[in-house]
Amino acid sequence: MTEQFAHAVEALNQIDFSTCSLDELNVFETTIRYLGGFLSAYDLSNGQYPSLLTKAIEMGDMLYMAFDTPNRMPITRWDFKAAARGDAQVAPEGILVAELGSLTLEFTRLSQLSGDPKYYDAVQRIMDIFETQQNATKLPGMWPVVVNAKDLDFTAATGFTIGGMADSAYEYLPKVTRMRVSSTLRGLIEK
Amino acid sequence: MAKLSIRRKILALCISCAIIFFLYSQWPVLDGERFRQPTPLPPAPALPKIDLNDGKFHWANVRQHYPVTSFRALPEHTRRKVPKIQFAFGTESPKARDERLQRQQVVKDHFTHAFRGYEKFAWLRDEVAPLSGRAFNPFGGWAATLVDSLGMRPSCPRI
Repeated sequence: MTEQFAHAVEALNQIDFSTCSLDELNVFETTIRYLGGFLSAYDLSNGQYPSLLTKAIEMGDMLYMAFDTPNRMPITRWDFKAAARGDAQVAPEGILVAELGSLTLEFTRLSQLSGDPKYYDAVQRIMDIFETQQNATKLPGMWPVVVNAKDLDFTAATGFTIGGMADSAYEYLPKVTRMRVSSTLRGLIEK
Repeated sequence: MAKLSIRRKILALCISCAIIFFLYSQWPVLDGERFRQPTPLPPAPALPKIDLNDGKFHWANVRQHYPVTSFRALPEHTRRKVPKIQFAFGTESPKARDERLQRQQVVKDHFTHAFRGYEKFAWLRDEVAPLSGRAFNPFGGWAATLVDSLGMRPSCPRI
């Protein structure tokens, strides 16, 4: 088992994030699968394989560029090639609340492990908006399925669910609170 | 006399209930005290060094249009004990044990089958199609299945 794990880690070192099979990246999917995968493998193997953290940092640095917008809200369906070229970016008007609210675990853990606060900073700015607008929505306490990241308006939309497209935003609140001590996030849940 | 005795018994029962209820209502408070002591994390292993000047493309080198000048500080990282919430199972009958192990084995066999298929047909690609055995890259082509499942493999027995 240990050998197989080492073999798998060795294979992962070949992965090159400067090439990609897609033109547009789903930032949420990439975060939960890849960033989450590298971080949990690193943690579960007690940090024995530093290359897993290296890959997580590389991936984090890539995803971090999706936050390079005027209001620092990320582009959730991301033309990363334009970003790599240095084009200016703006966060979209209508994005799914789950895709915006389900980045905190991975980015926070990456800051904890790497010692670089920028990843945590990136997602905390999102959670600040979640908090300030939580009670101003059409269903106070919850956030609508679609939020406007460009104009920082999380209150206008009228569709609500705790099912698909929203669920993991709620799921992440207690998990990330469990992982770190934060009065801000705890406040969100207790409401 | 007999009546009085019953009254006394009822009174004693009421007082007992009140005491038990009081203690029970204080339990989260009392319990919380035990969990308030944070324990520091073990020292982190040495950080990997990434050479950003090796001539290759690095995302960290891409110039930002709207860089953050002041970062939010990471909250202090503490580990807290939380009460166990899992159900405490009683002693298991041999029949129940056999059934549990059998089911466990079925799950393991399915995982092993799927992972071997990935190794054989789609190694370092994102996904293997279960019937045709074709490889797909719907998540960027960075070995999504391998990365995603690596987080669970250390706890698996040898496959």
